[in-house]
Amino acid sequence: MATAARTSTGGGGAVPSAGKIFQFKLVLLGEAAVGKSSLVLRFVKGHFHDYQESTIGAAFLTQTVCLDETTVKFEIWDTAGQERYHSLAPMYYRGAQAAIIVYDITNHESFNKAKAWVRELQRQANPNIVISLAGNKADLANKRMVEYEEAQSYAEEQGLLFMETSAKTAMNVNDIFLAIAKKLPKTDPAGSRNPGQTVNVNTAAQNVEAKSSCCGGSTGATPANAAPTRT
Amino acid sequence: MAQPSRRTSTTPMTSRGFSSAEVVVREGFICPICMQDLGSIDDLQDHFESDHAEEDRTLLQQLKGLVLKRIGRAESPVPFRSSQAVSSDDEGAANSFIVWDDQTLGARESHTDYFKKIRDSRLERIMVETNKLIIRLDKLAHEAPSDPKQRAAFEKHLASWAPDHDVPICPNCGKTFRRFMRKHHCRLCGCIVCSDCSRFLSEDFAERLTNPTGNRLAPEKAEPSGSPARSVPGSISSGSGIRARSNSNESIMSIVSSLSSKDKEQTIRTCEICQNLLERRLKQTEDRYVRVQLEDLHERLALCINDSESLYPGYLEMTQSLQMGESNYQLPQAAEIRTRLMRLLDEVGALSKQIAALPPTGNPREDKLRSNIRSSAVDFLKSRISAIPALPSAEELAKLQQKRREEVKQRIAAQRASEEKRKRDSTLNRLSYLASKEPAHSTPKKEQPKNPFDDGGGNPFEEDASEDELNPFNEPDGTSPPPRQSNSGWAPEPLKQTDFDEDDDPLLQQITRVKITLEQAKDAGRVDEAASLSRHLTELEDFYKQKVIQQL
Repeated sequence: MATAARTSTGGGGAVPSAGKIFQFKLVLLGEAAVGKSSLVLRFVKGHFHDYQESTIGAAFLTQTVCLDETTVKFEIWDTAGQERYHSLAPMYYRGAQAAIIVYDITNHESFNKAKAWVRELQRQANPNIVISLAGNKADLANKRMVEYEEAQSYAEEQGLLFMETSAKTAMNVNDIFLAIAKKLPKTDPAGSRNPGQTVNVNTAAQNVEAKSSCCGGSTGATPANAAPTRT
Repeated sequence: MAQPSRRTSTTPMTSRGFSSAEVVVREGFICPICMQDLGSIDDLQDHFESDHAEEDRTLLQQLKGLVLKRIGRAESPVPFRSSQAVSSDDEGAANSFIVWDDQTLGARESHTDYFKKIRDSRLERIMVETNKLIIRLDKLAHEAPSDPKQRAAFEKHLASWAPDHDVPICPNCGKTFRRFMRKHHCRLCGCIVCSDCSRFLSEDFAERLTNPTGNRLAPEKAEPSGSPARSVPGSISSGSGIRARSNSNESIMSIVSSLSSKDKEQTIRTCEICQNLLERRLKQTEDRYVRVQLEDLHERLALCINDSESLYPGYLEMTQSLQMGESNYQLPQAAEIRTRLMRLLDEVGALSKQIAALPPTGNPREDKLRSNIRSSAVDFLKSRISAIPALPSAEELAKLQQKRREEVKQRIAAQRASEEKRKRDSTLNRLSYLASKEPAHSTPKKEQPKNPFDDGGGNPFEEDASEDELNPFNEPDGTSPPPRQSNSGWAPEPLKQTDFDEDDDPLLQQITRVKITLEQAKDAGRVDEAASLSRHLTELEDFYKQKVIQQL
């Protein structure tokens, strides 16, 4: 099949043409039954189930997206929307670099809840978190209760990425993850986990060690200098 | 000028807020190097050139320049006469200097430099003279002894009074002094004038001149000795420096004293010329510090205009948005900004009117400036007031918003229709493309390999393939090349609800869930996922322990 040439066979990060691999933690938040799990399952597995079980706690999934130069691996935490699991949410969004707040366009209350989530993230989460707003169930536009413009202007006001999505038709599902992947900062070395690069740094340091007898000649100083690069 | 004023006065500075050390102020033609008083400019110059020629060339140069400027002007026969005498000299010099040639067509000559030269030197001289007057005024006001006789001597000495017999006519008005016409000495320059030409400087005036920064005297000076002592005629024992119109004549003294029931009105007699010089100086200093009302008003006007200009674009956007029926802005919010804007514009109108209505100065340029300010403000108001759009009323807004919603719905429907059409077209295109290119490879599942999320077969599609065509990564005719997505997505198996107790602590449920997921990740050989999960499991367990401890 033609697929074989384009996709790698498992084993995270072994994509030949992509340079660096960045790993980001992404959390899905939103009211119950807005389609968070469907959205993420569509993204990760390409599936859609009409009857999706309600999530317990938080589900963990991963998916990798290739950009032009880099590869982004998302560690996705799909949290439960039910109120009783609300206390778990901070554990997930606190260390997250990205968040998707999902609401249901046929349910205005879920949009209000999404706004509350945005406020909570702005107050409690990592200040550099990339927040995006997804108006899910866009396929049910005939039952629409939240206008596109309303959400759009709200998102602009708050500086959020915004898309109306449909897990059922896959509309904008990959796009929203891709947009997040593009927006996430790629300079943070903590996010990079390319083992090859780490080795390169070390060998470079060793090279310097071998050559740098001219600067001072103190043998004690060079390992001390090299030590931080190794970490 | 030629008359040397030779004086060294010791000033008790304590009362003026300086150190208690006595400061000697010397006045006259004093050599800057040996501090000898030479008595005249020429003597000083000669002395300096002969005695200190080699000492300081630069100083010499400076001094020479200074002295040269003086020469030719200070030769008035009247000792230390004021600008009047001097200026007549200057005019004479100017007349003799400028020779008007017959003007030939197109030829012109600039006299600006010459004018400046004359003007600068005159300004400088006036300044020096006025400074001298002020120094004397300061001494008169603050250092004169209180005893009338001593004071008279002090005054005579300070300004070196002209001898009475030298002056047969009043130099100011030209009247001949007769028997009953008194000669009055100006206390500042020492010249003699008739009573009509003499003036009195008030204490306040002297104070403003000698103390322009406005710090009043130290308390012990500011409070003249108690008024009871003052009321006794003839025994003026004022602690205050300024005496009532004192004169050497005792009779006048007593008259003055008796008159001085309101003797706070203390004055210094001067001549008209000195007074003019001093008044000019006072006006200059005050002009420098006093803010003109026009400036003040204009500043406020500019502020209002700026404020309204910064408000205006935002308001315009708001009204436009509201007129479109959007819900981005609230009506009351917009109304408030409109009120603020209107208030600012009112203020602009009021301020410009106030500027135009300021009392005329007599200066045509300032009057013109004012009318220009007013007319530009009026222009601004005209352009702005007509450009401020009205806000829709609440009902209108509701209608507009309703209309907008309908439009949006229509647009969405149209969009969806066109999307579906495009989808169908692209499917058709692809089918025909595949049919033409690879007829042998076309299988009933031909769409499936295009799906990047496909695990590699066995993935049942609930919907038909057209659903996946919406997937932007699969758009073959997309404008940008679709980003490649590896097949490394991983998700655990669906949970069995039986693993969980509904009433369990959510945290315990989550721990169970993560444990199950971790096992699955390990089984699937997902090293990274397993690592992340086990890290997270530790976090969760720590969190749970803390929670339990807190509950205990």
